[in-house]
Amino acid sequence: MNLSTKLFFSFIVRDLFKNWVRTAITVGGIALGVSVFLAITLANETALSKFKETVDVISGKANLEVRSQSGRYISASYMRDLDWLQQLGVRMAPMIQETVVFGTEGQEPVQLVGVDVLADPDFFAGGVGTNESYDMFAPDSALVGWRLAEKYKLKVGSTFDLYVNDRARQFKVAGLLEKGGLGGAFSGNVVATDIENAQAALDSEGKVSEIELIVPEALVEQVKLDLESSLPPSVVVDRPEARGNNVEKMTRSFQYNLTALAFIALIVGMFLIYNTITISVIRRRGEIGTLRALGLRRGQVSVLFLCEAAAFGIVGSALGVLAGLGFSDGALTAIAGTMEHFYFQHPFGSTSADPWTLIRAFIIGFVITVLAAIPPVWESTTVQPAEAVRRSSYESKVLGSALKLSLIGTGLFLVAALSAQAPPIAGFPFMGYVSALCTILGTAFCTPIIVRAAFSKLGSSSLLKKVAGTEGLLAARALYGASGRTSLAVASLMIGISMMISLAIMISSFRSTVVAWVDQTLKADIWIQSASRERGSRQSRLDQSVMNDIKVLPSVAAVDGFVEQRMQYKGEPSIVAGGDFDVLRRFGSLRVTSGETPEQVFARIGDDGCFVSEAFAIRKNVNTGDVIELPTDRGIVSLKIGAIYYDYSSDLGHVVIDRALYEKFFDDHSLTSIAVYLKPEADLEATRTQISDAVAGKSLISMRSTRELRKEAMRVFDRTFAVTYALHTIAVSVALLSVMNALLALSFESRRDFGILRYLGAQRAQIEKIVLGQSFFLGCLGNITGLGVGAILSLLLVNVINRQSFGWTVQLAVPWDFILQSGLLVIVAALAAGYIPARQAAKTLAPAVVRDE
Amino acid sequence: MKLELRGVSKKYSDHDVNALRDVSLSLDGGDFVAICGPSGCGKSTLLNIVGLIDKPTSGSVLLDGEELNSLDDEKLTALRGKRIGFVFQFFNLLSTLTIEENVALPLELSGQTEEADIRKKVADLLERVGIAKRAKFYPSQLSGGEMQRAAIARAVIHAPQILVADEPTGNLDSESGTVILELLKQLNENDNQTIVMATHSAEAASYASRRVDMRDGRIVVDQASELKVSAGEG
Amino acid sequence: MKYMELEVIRTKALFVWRHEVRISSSSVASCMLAFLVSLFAISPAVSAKEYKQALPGYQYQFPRDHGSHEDFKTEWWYYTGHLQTESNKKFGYELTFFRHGIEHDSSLKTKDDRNVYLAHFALTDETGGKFKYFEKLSRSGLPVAYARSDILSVQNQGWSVEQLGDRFVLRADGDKSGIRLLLSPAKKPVIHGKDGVSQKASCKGCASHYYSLTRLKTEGLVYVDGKPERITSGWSWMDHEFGSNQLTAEQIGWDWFSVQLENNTELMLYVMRRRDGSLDKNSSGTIVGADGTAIHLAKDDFKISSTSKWTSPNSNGVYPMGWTVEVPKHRIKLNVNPVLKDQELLTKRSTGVTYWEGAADVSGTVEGKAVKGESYVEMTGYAEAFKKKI
Repeated sequence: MNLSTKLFFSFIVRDLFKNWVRTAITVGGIALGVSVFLAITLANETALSKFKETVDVISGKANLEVRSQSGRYISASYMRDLDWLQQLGVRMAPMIQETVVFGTEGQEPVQLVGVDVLADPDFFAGGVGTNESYDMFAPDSALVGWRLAEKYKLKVGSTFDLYVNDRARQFKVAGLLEKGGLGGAFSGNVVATDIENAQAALDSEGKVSEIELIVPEALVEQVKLDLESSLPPSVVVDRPEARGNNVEKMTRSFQYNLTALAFIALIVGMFLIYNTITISVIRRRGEIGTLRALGLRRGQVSVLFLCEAAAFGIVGSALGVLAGLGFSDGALTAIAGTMEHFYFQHPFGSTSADPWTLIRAFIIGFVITVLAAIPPVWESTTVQPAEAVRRSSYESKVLGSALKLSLIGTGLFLVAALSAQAPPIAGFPFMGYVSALCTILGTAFCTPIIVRAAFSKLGSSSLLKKVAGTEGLLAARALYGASGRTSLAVASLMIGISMMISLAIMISSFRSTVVAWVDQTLKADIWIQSASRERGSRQSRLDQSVMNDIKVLPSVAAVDGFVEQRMQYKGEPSIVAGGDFDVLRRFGSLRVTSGETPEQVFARIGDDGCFVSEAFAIRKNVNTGDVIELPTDRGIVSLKIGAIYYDYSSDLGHVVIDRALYEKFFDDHSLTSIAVYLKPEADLEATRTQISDAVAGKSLISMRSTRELRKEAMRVFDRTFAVTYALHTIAVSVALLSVMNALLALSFESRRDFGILRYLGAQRAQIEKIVLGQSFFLGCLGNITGLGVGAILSLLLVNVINRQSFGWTVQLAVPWDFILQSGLLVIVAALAAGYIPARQAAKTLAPAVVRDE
Repeated sequence: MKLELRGVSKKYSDHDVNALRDVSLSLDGGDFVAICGPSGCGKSTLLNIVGLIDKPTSGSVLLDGEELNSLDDEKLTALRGKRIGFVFQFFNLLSTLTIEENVALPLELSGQTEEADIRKKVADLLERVGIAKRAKFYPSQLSGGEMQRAAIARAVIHAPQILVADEPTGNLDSESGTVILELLKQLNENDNQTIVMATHSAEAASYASRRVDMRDGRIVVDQASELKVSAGEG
Repeated sequence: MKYMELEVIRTKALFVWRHEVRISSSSVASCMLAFLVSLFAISPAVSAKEYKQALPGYQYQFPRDHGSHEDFKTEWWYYTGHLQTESNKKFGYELTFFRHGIEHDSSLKTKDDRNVYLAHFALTDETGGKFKYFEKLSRSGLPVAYARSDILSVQNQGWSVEQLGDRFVLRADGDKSGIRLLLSPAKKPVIHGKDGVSQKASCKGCASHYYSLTRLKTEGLVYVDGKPERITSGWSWMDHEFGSNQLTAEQIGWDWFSVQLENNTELMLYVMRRRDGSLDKNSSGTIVGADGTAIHLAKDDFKISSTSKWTSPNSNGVYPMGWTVEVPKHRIKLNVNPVLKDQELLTKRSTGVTYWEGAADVSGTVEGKAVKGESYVEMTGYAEAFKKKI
């Protein structure tokens, strides 16, 4: 063992064990930060990779596919237009798929995949159970995925129901799909049938979701170009992977924002390590001086402390990776609901841990730890050989640079202010995050001067002395005296609190905005969708006859049939919808940004204009009066944007046209939902019964009153933000660890003073009171600065980041009660964090502490 | 005032040797005792026991006839706060407090709240030790001698029964040292202040009225007992 | 005459496929094969769709009967021919379209009849001594394969035959090879067998409706290695056959001959080989005179003997190679010699059957006069039979 290694163990490692509380806090902080980051990353990646894997499995070796740009399906007749490709050695296979509901016992969403069972085997790489010969062409034949088979104990010959659109269909198990290949797609929640059977079940004869092509690799680009020019523009020709990219694009805002939140926990953890190493260096200046006198070079000193940081980094990150793996399933569950509701449907199961992701999280944790340690390590190299410890040498430096730091801080505020004005980059509010980060860092840099100002005032306040006694005064003075470390603690807390406050303000603003929107928009009395849609088959439709059956009921004043489907607008996933303009005009359930009344708006727009949702307008950067080109099954149509309406139901953006127009453009006569307006005298429950009777036996529907729908809307909302809540709770926890760490250091540093006070007759309780007083002051100052920064961040979140990410206008609503409660909670928590340091400080009575210098 | 140590031994748990071995010492009001001896002879331990900082491992300590061993930390601390004043080699002023705040500290810690009263006492005392002009200064702005004078002021602000001084001149040049010793002597003579001073300087010891020499945790020479012994013998 | 090809699938391919399914572990390839097995293996006797049987008395109606007959389970359109190009190269081609109706529980309503469509395309470069073949497998319900009932229009993934007035347009492509042909019938359709049925086995309904266009003038282009060659002279033969029933277990294969002689007469012969090595008594043939009149030949009216053997390096099947065909009653004696030995098709993906179908030269005498001609010969059941032995 060489000297450096020996020194590392004797000088650093032993010390870490001796100060195990602080070591534990630091390691815990890093671990927590890394684990949250990893959990979120894993959850995000799993969600995407599961989708991509499935695309891979289902398309097999296909390297090009033709699918719709304007809706769910394309006509299978395009296959004829692709026939000539066979001369080039191109093979093709059609496929249709949709999320439907598996019935009988479970009532859960499953993927129905219709494939051409005679297609080239290269298309669906994988296996099926082949022990039975089965007739896949029989209209009720289906193969079921392994998970369904396991869960519902399905055997060849058993029957089950699929709820497709507003009907139930019975299928017979012709065979079981094995885990490999097609059976492994959708985590085994898959029902595969021959394509004709699937088309029939989906009421989509002659339509397919994709035509998969296997093109000789050298020809792919050429074929793609050729098809793009020869096929109508409503059709996309792309590699199957592009579907994964589409999903990525669609969920990017959601995922990036989550990752950014998770990253904050890491940044707070960074403060923690900075704090710990700084303290370690300060505390041991004398010893460093001695070692230097004994011949240790500068570089060796810095290596020692870098190794300390590295040790923290390795242990903390490793624990973080383990914990992150543990949390990841929870994180996935937390985001799965949101993903499925807003973006795409896919059973997620549990996270799969890509080793590279684990390594990356570990490396990020490690690098951040080492980076955070660089300033204090630099500091350690300035120690002169045999330097006598002047106790305030570090502090005097800090005081000296407080002004300089605040200048940097001011500069950062300027950057923050400027970047807040910047537009999004590739649809992502990158500059918004830069602004938020600069605000946080700027405040952190200004903390020393704030701390100095605050505690110099406080420390000489006779009021404080009256209220908190000499102990209070001593606490304030100690914080002032150690303003460097005080600043660190306050900054950590500030970051945690500002995050908590800003997210709280954002969520509360969002919630109150949505509540108001829901109240203003949900004007109908009864809402109808297909039963399978309610159970998770998001694309499920109703037959139009349902609407006609309801329309004629005596208590019904009007019905609005609404239909929507995904489309690609300029390569970005969006939604096109058809609504009954006449009903919308009469009942006024669209609230437009211009503030016009429905009558005015519809009079201006007419029947062939369109509305776009605010999310569409902002994210696609279009405005009222602009003409947009919409891909439809009838080719590209130009529509003039008549008005922009508020909508918080999706961030993909809606284009709403009159349903008559929709039906013309898309040859789609089904409905997604029906809003029923009752006559004033009508009885809600009685009408519900009438509707049930009217459609009984024809259509399986789900009915909700407006009150129930509102409740549901808010449930979805709360579920969406649940993970956000969890993340900021964790960030605040890390911040509190940071405070505890700072207090431990501070009280360690003050041991001498406490010793003196004890000589002078101070009781243990008095010492404890001083330390707790410090906690209290830190908590208060953290609260105040955190509130200030939090307010700024919330403005950034609401007006820049969310607006650019999701395209929603949100009215600011400050949750005062929450802020008050959380403020108190932080102080209580800070006091709790001070408990251990206080107990330790009170025990200080080693005469040695006082006598030695 | 009478403080008696009877057969006091002290063993620190992490040391093999006894810091004090069977030490008996008696202090009377107005004594100025110099405890002399080389480093490690047990001076400081003896001072800590006299200053009610530490408790002996065996033997007993009686203050005005009251056995102190049985007192808990809180009572001992209260007693210390009232009856003992400390002066240290390294001054040990709190760097974040001004001189006057430092001096006032013992009064405030013991719960005195009469602000004006405290201020007057502090001002008087600072005047007396000759650093009135430095009242608003921070310790780091003072010279060593001034700091020690402030420390002495802090040590006697609450009129302690015993002033414990641990090498009070150890960190001062001889000129400042003399000033401090003179100050202590004055306190002893004018105010009848009992002083126990540890020192290894014979010159400093000469200011005391009684000298106790220590070696290896034992008292080897105690002028007072010598007097008694010689008186007994004689 | 290729009617029985699909029947062989029933009896033999089932075994082969089942086997392959296991061997190739659990790839989807096997899944697909298994599906295909099911097409032929499952024939629920009670509730299956009722297909018509080929019974005597069938009245042909042209051009309607050129189209598809969905009431019958199995149907094919079979084109073979000999082509000569401007650069004096000779080619033989085979283009076959199969339709096979899918049986399923008739209580389950489906919109249309369901079919599987198969197709084989083979090109023999007689000059270059090369043989290439390709296959297609499709199903109904997708627009890439169909057979119309009202008119002759059969399509399978880009390969097609369409009626154009009273002519036919053929099109097929494989790897850099292909044909674009315009076929003009020089004679009326010849209906084989007796009373509109061509009996295949002795059981009732074990038969098909079978007619041929025996002399089709052929024009157009043939592509070889991506290079188009104009056809200067060419003659094709078309078989169209439909029926619903099965081969008996005793019948292990057949040999089929179509001969076009320079004297403007044609000859079609088939023999059914039985497991015991004898020929089935339902073997038969047809002579078509220059004026288009057809004369039915019964088993005993003709004699076929082979002159040599060829062992396929691909399937290990041992095929007869070179034949002497005698029809004593009509004083016909012909030597039939393949232009190329390896004209074997291993159609793993579609029918799964291994058979030999190739162009052959013909020389001999008719009523004492020397005559030359061209022929296509089909031999089935040799590779499979061989397999069974081991």
